[in-house]
Amino acid sequence: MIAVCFSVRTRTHWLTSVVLAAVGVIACATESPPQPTQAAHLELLFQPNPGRLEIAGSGAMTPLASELAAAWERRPDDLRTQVEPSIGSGAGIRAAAEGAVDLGMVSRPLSDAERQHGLRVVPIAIDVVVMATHSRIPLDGLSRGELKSIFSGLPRQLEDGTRVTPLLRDPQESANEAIERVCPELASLRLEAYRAGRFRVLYHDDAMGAALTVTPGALGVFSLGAIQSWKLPLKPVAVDQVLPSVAAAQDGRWKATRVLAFVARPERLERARRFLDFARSSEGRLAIARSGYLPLAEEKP
Amino acid sequence: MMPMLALACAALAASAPLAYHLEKRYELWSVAREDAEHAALALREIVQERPRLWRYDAAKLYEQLVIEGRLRGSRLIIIDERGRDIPLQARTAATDSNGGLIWSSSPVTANEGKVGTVWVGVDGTFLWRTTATLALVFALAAIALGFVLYRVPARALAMAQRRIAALMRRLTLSLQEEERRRIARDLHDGVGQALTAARLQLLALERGSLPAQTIPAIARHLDEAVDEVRRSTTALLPPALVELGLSRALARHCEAVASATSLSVIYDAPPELPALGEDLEVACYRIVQEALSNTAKHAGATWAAVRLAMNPQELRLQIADDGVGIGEDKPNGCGLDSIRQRVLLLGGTFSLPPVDRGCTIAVTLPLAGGL
Repeated sequence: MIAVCFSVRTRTHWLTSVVLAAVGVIACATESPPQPTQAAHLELLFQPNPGRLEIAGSGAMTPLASELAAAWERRPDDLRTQVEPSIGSGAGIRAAAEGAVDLGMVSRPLSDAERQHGLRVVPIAIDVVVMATHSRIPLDGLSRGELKSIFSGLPRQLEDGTRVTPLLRDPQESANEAIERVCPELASLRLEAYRAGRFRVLYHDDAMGAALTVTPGALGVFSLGAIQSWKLPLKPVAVDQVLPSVAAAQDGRWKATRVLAFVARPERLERARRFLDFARSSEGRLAIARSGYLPLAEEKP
Repeated sequence: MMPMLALACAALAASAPLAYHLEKRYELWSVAREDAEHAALALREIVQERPRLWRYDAAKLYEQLVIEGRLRGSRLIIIDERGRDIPLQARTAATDSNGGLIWSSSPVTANEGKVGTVWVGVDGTFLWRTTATLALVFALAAIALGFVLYRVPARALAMAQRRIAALMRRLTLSLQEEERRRIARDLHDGVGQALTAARLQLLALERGSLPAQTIPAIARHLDEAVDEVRRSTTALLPPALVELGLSRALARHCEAVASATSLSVIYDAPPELPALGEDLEVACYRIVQEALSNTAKHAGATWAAVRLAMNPQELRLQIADDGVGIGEDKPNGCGLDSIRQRVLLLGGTFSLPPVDRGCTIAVTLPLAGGL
């Protein structure tokens, strides 16, 4: 009898222990990420590459920087340049702040938080943002209403039977905001399209250029300078009878523009000074204009 | 019973919510794991393309995963090889809080080894809420079930106990009444008769109608009365039990029966028994006394056997003879009813197992609380 009582008591304790252990396992046995170390201000993570000026950032500015670098390389200077593929304005600012590149490229104004990094901003040119399509597509102009209709998802067939396929850039892309100055209705349509997964979204300028080139009937926001620099078989589409061009942007008829600039830590700015001087010289400005961008007034950084 | 029932109800209440929680948690963890592996794979391609600048392109990747619906988790964190959090611009609803997230991770490896880790957290706050709700529902169900399982048998048990107690009281009264009747009968038939005879003879002696030689006869009558009184008191509590203990008292009684009758009595029992309590020992002694008396008076047997055995739970007593047995018309006769009542009063069992010849009485008496 004593043995039986002991057995029952032991079993009770055992069961209680199992239940408590199970609850404990559930509560505790979960992975969780380590507490990340993130400094309040960005710190210098990388040392400069000796003899080479590294440039990365906005995809809108990448063709321009590549043209400038190519012109620079023809000069008798031992400082070499390397322009990285597009990583976007925000990433260009961070990369410059952390020293991963000497010059970051931006196609939008810096936010308040980004200004805290203490970077110097050197505006270089103005980019004309356009609605672009393949040059063989029989689509030269659209009204704002038609643009709105196309980006709201209503089908639109062209004369040759091609159906217009809208393409979107990612939400962080500065070209969105620029084109929405021409057609403000596109802002809400774009957000709705993201939510609904209505159209294909491209995350880099080179990817957008390729998609506009190969997708039948593709129509999307793009850089006029990139079209010219990369010699893509694309053309700008007029909106409300205004054909986007550098001249139209210069005289104010076309509002979709954005300022392109380099950003750099002060000590890296010194390192890049000769290149930046060249970019803002007559020769540099000529190269910028040849690339389809509007050079800013000549000025020392 | 109550603690076991409570534990069973608690286990019942906890088991389903626990199973639900574990299953759902594993499901969410699997989602986080898949997402982390997927993101790590995509990030690996970026690392290979841009070994130095991949960390700055990760935000676009996150944005892409969110917009394309390929990230089911609520939060994605990328930590580089130095343990630094790589900032991701796009944000989802639960991004600003880590509470209730179920995390899983996957390493980002490139040619030169591990360059970072992708962590994906899936919102699991609903899981605790749902589990708590389930636990509440099951706890209420378990309480209801526990009430039914405990109260219904408990009430039936209480009723049965009340009935048994009443029966015991009746049995006790019946036995006491019978004992009183037997003592009264013995006093009337023995002591009464002897004292009456002595009184009559003394009166006759006083009147002178009897000679003085009759005084020894009167003394015999008074001696018989004294003997009868002694027998009666012995019947109430056998002195042998007090003096010798149960086993030896029974042995002596068997010898006495054998010497007083033509019966050959075999006694088989352990020579020493532990103290079993007065009620049990008296009952045992009386049962043997009654059974042997019946055998001697009614069975016409040549032998009788008394066997006593014990285990930690009970005392086993068997009285057998080779007599004529008990007729089917008298299953309770010959003092058997008295034996049965004594046994029932102590919570034991009484039976008459079938035998080829004679009669066998089998009795078990529980030992209170065991040994």
